[in-house]
Amino acid sequence: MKLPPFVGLEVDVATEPEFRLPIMVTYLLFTSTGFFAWGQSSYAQDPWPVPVIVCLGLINFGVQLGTTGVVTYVVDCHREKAGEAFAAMNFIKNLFSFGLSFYINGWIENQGARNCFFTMGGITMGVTLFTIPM
Amino acid sequence: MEAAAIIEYGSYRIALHGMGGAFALTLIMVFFWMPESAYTRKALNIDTGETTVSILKNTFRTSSKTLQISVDEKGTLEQLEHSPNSTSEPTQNEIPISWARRLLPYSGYVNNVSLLNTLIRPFYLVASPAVLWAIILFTTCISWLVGVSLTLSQIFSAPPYNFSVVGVGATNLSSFVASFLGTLTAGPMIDGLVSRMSKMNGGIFGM
Repeated sequence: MKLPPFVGLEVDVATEPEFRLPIMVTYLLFTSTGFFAWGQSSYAQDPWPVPVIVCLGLINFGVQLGTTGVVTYVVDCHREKAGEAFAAMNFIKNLFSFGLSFYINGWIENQGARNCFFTMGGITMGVTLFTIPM
Repeated sequence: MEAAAIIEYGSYRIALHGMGGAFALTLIMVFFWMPESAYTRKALNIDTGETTVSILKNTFRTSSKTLQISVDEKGTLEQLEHSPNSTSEPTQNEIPISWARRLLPYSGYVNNVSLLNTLIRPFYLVASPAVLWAIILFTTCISWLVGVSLTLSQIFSAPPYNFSVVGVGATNLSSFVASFLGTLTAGPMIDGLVSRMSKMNGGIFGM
């Protein structure tokens, strides 16, 4: 196979997929802060800009950073099988979201928004700690 | 957000019918403008070939941490060509396929893996710790977003806030702006971090 003359191919041994992981710290900070703040603000009945702008903003910003980190890490780890890895990830994610849509409204009704969002923030933190052994 | 306004001033039926129409339009657009791009690569894929990269690593690790294969280095390219992965030369004369022909469901691409195997294969990857970790984080990450959007109306229509339908819809604007900012910052942030760490390690990522 002939390479075009402008291609200087570089194989970088010193770059590792693990370098994608530190971004998960921002996911942990933003998203779990957002959930805890939302839970507390809905309990304290703060004026609407607090939950809407601050908390929703933090959650979404963090989630965006987190998903980007996860996706780039998987692509770096499994270049060959990235498609299949995403198929598996999406399948299980959709399964979970589908289940979630059945119980989340009842959950908030039963336990209140504060407990619900505190739990979510806690799960976020706990799950992100799995990053450390990676 | 627009749906909220339509529901407020029209009815939810109009909003849902509009969405149905939009999805149908998308389906038609996908059919016509997203051609099948599956292609059996006969030539060695240098970017992702696992075996090749490992061969190269073993050969050159002693000389330096960073490998640079350029076209000038005949030896390296020779080695790439003679590695067990490269079976044959790429076909030289490829006939361009007409647009109408691309619309056919069958494009002549033959995948030698059975359908059942294709369906099951993703789940073997769950055994990989990297993918398992990614599944757990990705699942919770996206599901919280889904959960938040499901509970928005429940929380903001309730007594302390008493938002109208338009108000609840407008809360999505906050999510939208934050996601937009997140998307903008995430790429440069990750790449910047990686290239800095790689430099510290003596590498050359993204120079």
